[in-house]
Amino acid sequence: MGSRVGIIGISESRCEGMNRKDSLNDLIFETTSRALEDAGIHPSDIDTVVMAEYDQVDGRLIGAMSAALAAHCYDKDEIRVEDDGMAALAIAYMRCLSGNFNTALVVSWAMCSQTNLDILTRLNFDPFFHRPLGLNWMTAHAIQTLSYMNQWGITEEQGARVTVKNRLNAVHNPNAHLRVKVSLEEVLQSKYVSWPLRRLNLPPHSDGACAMVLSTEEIAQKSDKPIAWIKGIGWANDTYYLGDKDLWRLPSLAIAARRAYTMAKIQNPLKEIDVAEVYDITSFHELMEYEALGFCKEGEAGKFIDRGITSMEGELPVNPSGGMLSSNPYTAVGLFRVAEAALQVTGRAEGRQVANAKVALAHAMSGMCGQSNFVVILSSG
Amino acid sequence: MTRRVAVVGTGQTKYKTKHHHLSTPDMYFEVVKRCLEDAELSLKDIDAFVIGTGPEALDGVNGIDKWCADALGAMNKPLIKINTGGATGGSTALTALDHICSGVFDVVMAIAGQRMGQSTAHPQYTLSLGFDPIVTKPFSINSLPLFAGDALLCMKKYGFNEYHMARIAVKNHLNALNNPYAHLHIKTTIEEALKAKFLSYPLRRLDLCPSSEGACAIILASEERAPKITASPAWINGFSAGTTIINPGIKGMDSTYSWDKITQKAYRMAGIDHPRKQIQVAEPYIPVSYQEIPAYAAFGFCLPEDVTKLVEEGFGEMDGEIPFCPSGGVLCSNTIGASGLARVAEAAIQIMGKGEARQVPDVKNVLATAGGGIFGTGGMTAFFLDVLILGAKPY
Repeated sequence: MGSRVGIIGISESRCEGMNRKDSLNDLIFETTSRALEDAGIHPSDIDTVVMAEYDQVDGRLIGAMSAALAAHCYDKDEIRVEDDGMAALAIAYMRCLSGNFNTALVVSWAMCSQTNLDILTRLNFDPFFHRPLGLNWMTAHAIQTLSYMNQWGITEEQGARVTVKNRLNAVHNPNAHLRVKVSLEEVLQSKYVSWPLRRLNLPPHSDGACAMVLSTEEIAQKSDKPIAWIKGIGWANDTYYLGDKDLWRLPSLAIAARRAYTMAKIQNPLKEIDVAEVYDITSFHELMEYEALGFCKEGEAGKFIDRGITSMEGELPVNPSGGMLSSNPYTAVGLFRVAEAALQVTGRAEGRQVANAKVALAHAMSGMCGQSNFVVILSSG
Repeated sequence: MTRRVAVVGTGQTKYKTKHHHLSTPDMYFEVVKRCLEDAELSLKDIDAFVIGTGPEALDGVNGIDKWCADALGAMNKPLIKINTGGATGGSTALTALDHICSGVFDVVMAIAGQRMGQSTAHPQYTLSLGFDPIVTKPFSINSLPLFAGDALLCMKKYGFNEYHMARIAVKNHLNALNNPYAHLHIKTTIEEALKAKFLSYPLRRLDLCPSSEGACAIILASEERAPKITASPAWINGFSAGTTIINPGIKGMDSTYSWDKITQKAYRMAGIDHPRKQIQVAEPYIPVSYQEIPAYAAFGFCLPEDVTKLVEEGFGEMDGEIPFCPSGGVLCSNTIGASGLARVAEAAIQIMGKGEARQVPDVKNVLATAGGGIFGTGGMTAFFLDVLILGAKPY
């Protein structure tokens, strides 16, 4: 068992509606190669490669096989997670900690332009109880949003403020997909796509890939670049059946956060965390996450956003990159959150840099209505 | 290994064409229950879960891990889903191992399974979707001709013929008779195997695995916890995983091309210098009979030129020098997702002495593998292999 694991190389592709330039393998090769270059290590120095990808999003069975060569897996230990990119990071972290591996390359990608997520995610529901209802990711999250709004009296304006904030932040992120800011009126006048969710409460569908290199403390300290250290990590899973849970809260996120906070010795997340990157699958979900992550009390996220605490100038900027509402490469979203958090703590976030960011939180979800949640705490020292 | 890890319990469902009476969560519930009973643990003892399934297009539901989370007992607990195709089961076990080796968790359950009988299309059609859409897929290729071509390559390279393949097939089918969980229970002879229908030349009906439904689970525990859970933990002393991308058109590059290199790495970790002397049982991932023949050499039991002689001597038979596939192996039950984990489970069963009719006496070290692979772009082939060495004593 080692002591610390650090992120020594980061690479993000540009997120765009349709990547017309690259094939999927080209995108993966370019992104992983740039991560290795950033870490200053040769592909042969990588001990293990952890990939995260959904077959259904890529439209290829066991897509990791075709991607293996592009992801520098030749003659290497390789594994593929069919979960969010942050699950791959968790495995890479444990591998570096175990002493069996010294360096790990993590990569996740999605080409949402090649598939129809709205139809595809209908198959995420079991054939007996949920599927006959015709749910997909959007309608399921709309039901959850409604339940949340009703529970605490959250208004549409409060949800819209999240979109306005994140889209404004995205203007300064050269890798973001949507880089045009929107006003509160524009959000509130955009069309209902699945009531109570309007077009601008929902993320776009993007093509993009993200990769990073993790290593043990021994190797990381040889680097002359600033390192983002993984201080805490936690993940947990909730029940699948939507009717069996209080949809207005995210208990598995609270558990995952508690695990990560305990590991990182964080007692007051609002005070001790300088910047957060969360999985804003709808603008209202960002509010629910404030509560589950302990940034504010349950039911108070609406007032929290009203006070502007999570804007760039606020006490705890959330999603300075623009979040998922401005770029959504479905599978890779979680890894993008970690990459952005790592850029923040290492002071490399350029136009979107939060001043004096020392401790950052990254969060990802997978499954429907926040069934699985992952939380990572990064620190500069 | 920095922190030792052992298998302390296993559970399997019966493997069969279709579990008519079980929904997918039911199937996983059954296997988790059996595994907990075997280890005499309860759900609250499990810190984290890792689940593996192969292509979900076969199951017909995206996110099997999410749907079955309740049935696994993973409520409010960490759960990660793995999919590495044919090697899924092995990768699932290795991920559970990472959970414990890292010191983050102490007791982890690895579960793997697959539903093969639910799809309206034949599984081989679904598998054909794995090939690259531009160069290879127009040939309507699936795993059958893939293995047939590889078998021809191996026959030429190692100098074996149909008789040798039939002998291996019959051995594995007879072994399966002693395994109540095996899918195919066929009492057959070499004559029958040689007369069976060709499915894809040179492979006949009995040379090929069935498509099975089922699940398998194992519980892994840290060095502090394992001896308290069971008197005979099966220690994971060595492991290794590798990806090779080969071009079958290049002379001599068969599917076992990189197996020796990957296996040697695991041997070194487990302190195995003379595999033929130190290993008592092998439970490799052999979905097609011919693959076992080059495996004798790839696993370091003999030189490549001696493999046919070993088959003729009955090296891998139950009363032979090193029994291969005492459970009947993947040849007699292939669930894709669970197949790799079932090999690890069988290796643990042999070490724990729970093999009943198929138990090999005095087992100290067992070799288990899981493999997968498929044609990629332009005739290149990606092959994955996971190797685990389980021992009665920690190394």
